[in-house]
Amino acid sequence: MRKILLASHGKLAEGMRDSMQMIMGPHPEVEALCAYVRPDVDLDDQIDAVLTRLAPDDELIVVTDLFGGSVNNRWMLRLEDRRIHLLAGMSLSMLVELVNGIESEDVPAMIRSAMDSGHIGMRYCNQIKKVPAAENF
Amino acid sequence: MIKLTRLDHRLLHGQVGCTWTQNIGSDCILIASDGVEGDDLRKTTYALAKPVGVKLVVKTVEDSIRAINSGVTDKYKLLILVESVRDLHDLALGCDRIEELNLGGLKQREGTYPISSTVFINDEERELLRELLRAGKRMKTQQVPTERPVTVTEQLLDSAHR
Repeated sequence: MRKILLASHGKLAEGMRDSMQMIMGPHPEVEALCAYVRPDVDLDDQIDAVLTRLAPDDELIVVTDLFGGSVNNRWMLRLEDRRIHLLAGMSLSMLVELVNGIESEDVPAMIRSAMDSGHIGMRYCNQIKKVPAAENF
Repeated sequence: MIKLTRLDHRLLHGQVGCTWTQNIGSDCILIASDGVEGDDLRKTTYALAKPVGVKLVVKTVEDSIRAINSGVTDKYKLLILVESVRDLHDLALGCDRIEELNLGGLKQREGTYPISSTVFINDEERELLRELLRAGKRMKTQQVPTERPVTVTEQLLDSAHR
């Protein structure tokens, strides 16, 4: 089975999952890992718990909040585990495409396309110059 | 071919662009609304926000009926959006091709009551929906594709009140 794990400093991952489900309905294959919320919970232990629950033929797409941040860094150290795909810079438009494409046969291509959606979805709306022409049938 | 005719007060938004369009494989969205057709700002906003690779057409309800009945829309996998029960009523009764209706969202207003967790109607709208059922149109409430659809019947409309 293929799963998506959102991982963040604090509660962004949980909030991102909540917002995604508001738009797309329930998606139990998407989980959230919120780091540093409780001082007595260690991030490496959280990661171990996730990987322990993962079956040998499962695949996990991990989406972290910040490239260069500690959450992503700790996941980078786990990349020898071939079940993991690691992505940094989560956004809602990217997540929507990942959820829509989760059954895709070519996972790396699907991930690249989802990341493109994330890039395209980032806009400075004041500076959009080109107004699309009205379309007809 | 008409793939989905949806009532949603927000018209084209996240749920529609990210789930319904993909779920039904739509290649063309028609917004049937006199209000949007006459409002350049709203028209532009929807045109900018539409899903990539999907054609967006905005027409008045009357022009929408004419276009659908002429057959020019047959080559598309069409997703039709209306924002009010009145528009849904007029459009569906004007087009034999529209047989099934999706009630996605209608916000809570003064004098309204729920017929699903996201659809609120008033007495006048209840009568319009009743007319649609009596004209043989099938109707379901369903916000997103993963949610279980619920068939709307006259009994369901009768049991819904303030």
